[in-house]
Amino acid sequence: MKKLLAVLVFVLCAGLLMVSSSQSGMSWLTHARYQPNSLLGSDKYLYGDLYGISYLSNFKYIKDVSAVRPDELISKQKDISLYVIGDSYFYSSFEIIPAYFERVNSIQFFKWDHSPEVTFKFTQARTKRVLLVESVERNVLNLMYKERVAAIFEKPEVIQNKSVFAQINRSIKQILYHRTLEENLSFALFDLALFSKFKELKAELNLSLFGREPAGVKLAKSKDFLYLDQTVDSVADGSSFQVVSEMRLAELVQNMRQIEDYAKKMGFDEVIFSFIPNPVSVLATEDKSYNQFIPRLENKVGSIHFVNPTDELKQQAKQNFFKSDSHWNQRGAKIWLDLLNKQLLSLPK
Amino acid sequence: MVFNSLQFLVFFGIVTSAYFLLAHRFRWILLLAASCYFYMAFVPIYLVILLVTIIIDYWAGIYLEKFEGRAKKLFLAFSLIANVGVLAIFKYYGFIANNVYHLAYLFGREVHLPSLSILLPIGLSFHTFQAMSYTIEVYRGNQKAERNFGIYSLYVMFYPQLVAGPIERPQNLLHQFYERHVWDSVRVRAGIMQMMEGLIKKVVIADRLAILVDSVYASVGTHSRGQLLLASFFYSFQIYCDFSGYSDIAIGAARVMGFKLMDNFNAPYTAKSIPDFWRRWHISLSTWFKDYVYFSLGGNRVSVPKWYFNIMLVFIVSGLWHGASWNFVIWGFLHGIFQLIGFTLNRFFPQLAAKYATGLIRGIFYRVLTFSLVSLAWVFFRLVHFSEIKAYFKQLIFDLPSNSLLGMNSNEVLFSILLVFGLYYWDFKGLALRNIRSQYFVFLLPFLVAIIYFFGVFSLKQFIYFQF
Repeated sequence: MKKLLAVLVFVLCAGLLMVSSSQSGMSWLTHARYQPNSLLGSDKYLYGDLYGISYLSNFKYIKDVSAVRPDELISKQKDISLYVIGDSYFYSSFEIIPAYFERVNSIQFFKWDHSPEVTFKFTQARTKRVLLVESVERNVLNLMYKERVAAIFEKPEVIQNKSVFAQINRSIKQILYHRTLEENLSFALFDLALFSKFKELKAELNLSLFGREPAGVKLAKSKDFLYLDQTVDSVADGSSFQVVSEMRLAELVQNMRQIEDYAKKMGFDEVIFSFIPNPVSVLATEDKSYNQFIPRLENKVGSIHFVNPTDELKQQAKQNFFKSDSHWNQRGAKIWLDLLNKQLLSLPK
Repeated sequence: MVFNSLQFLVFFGIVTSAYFLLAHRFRWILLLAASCYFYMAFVPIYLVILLVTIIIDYWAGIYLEKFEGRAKKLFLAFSLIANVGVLAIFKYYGFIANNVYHLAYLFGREVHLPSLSILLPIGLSFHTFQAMSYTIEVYRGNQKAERNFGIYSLYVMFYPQLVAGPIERPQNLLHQFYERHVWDSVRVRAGIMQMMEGLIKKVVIADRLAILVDSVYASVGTHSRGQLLLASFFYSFQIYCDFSGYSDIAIGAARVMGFKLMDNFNAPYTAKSIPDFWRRWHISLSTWFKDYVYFSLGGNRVSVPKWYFNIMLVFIVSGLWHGASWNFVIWGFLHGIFQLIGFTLNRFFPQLAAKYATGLIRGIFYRVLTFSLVSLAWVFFRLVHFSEIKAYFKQLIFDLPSNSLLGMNSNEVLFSILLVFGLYYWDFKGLALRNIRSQYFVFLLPFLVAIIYFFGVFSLKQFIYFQF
């Protein structure tokens, strides 16, 4: 009996470690977990990513995950090959197809955090090559470096500069310990819908008794939206309330120009930058004043193509964002798409 | 790999079950491999440093047994220099270089020692002291030299106590690797209960108190006197729960497999004097210093000035053991001073001695006094920079206007105070989860898991003593 118990524990733990340490194991598990009506399913992202972090039951809204519906395009001539470097604001709202974009005949998408499975290459036909550099406001200051863009188009080793010891350390760690092992184990063990009630109870207990929001999340002063903590905390990088000096903005514009130059040398004809405001920047629910990061930047960019959806998103702002998700909803995404299409139409032939 | 992680939970499950499934002769190999894996989760390459000192001490042990007289002393010196040398390079080099620079600057000269940008190997002071304890005991003839290199390596690297103790003695641990441990349900349950108690101390108490402590200590100059006192009170319990929580998990994990590690804490805040506190706090380190430094200096069998000097030296070195920084030296110095004042008072006013504090009021008075002195010293342990220490005491004395927040609302402060008093009562009564009758295990375990889940703070916060 004791032996049987030991075998059982060994098999369970070893199996768990193997699944959590391998990419294919986690892909299989994730796929299994997100099967609708699965007994051992996860509801983590069913109700928005911020609900998935916080488990605040007041924010348990089923999230509409359908892609934005494109309007009928007005451009007859499809003369643009669009290359997009972007984040989840882009790929979770739109299908990666030309049907959304004016003048676009082909599209390639690259994630900021580098997608090794996607290799950059120009399409054969010589069309106008447009690079769209998209990022949410909270990440802009970290991402807008020529090296970050180069790492996507060239070999990632370009930006690695580590000692031999550091490389040995990294190699051993990669072999023995999966980079996200702790998160993977947490997902494997606890991201089950049957645990959600306990998680909600804990979140409620902490909020009502201690006034403490779950880590990573902030409740809007108006109590009707959840935000990423980072975007509200005045001293955090990427916060809508962090002080950003004029000098820092000037540096940022200089970096954007370097990216533009780099892209043009690579063979792009035009570069468009678009920074999506943090939801809290638009919704203005807090009693702190917005640092006006994107509008101030727009005034400085000069000849750089820049798409700023802040003013448009502010109109009926609450209808443009999910209440329990860090992203815009379909309506918000559509507003941005319209502005981008205007920009694409205005590009020289 | 920290004990309060899921990685450790899975690791522990695999290692422990495999341990009982394997034949006895293979178990040390499993434990050694598991310990290497455990250690490499931090900085893998540092395993090489550990291996070098293990090889040196292994051979030193064998030669210490073979030779006598001068040669024997030389082998001991070689082993100690190798161990202290590793400590000096990785832990103290930056401190020494910095102080040499400042000292030379005082005399109008600029001396720049080359800088080494190296990370401190995790738990270095712990396993180095454990290794030194082996060679000293072999030298003294209290321990036979270990011939099996793997077993000796395991003595230094045994994963439960590898990175933060208890600092074991070879007489207590080495023979246990040869013993055949069978599955004993009562012992296994007691071990798991002790691990649960450690986890509660860490994630329910220490990490909750850390919220306020970190918030206040991040800007001591902007908090009121009351806030600073509350933070200091909480810090005393935070560091206790953090470290004794680690020790409980380590001892419990070893106990499940049948190993008996030494106790490291014994209700330290119920102490009625500073010497009493040191008999209860970090027992494995304080006895190490007593056995290998204090007694080697002559202990109290010397003239009174030499005795006082011995005490001060031991405490200052103990401070430096914790960290290469002047604040730790001051922390050790303060404890030394407290001891000397206590001894002096006892010498001239024996009726004041804490051992006579038997009544309720006197007992409370001595306990509060001891706790206050220890907490005062903890301020120097927590604040690294002199500017912070200065700001702390300035604010404590003058209580200048401030409007900084505590990082907790009043409910959470109250809850934390309740936790602290609950823990104090638990310690005062000498209670321990491992002593609870094993038939309650099935009911108690889910209850404790629920306590940890609902009231725990899960931030994967490292144990404070890992940095040493």
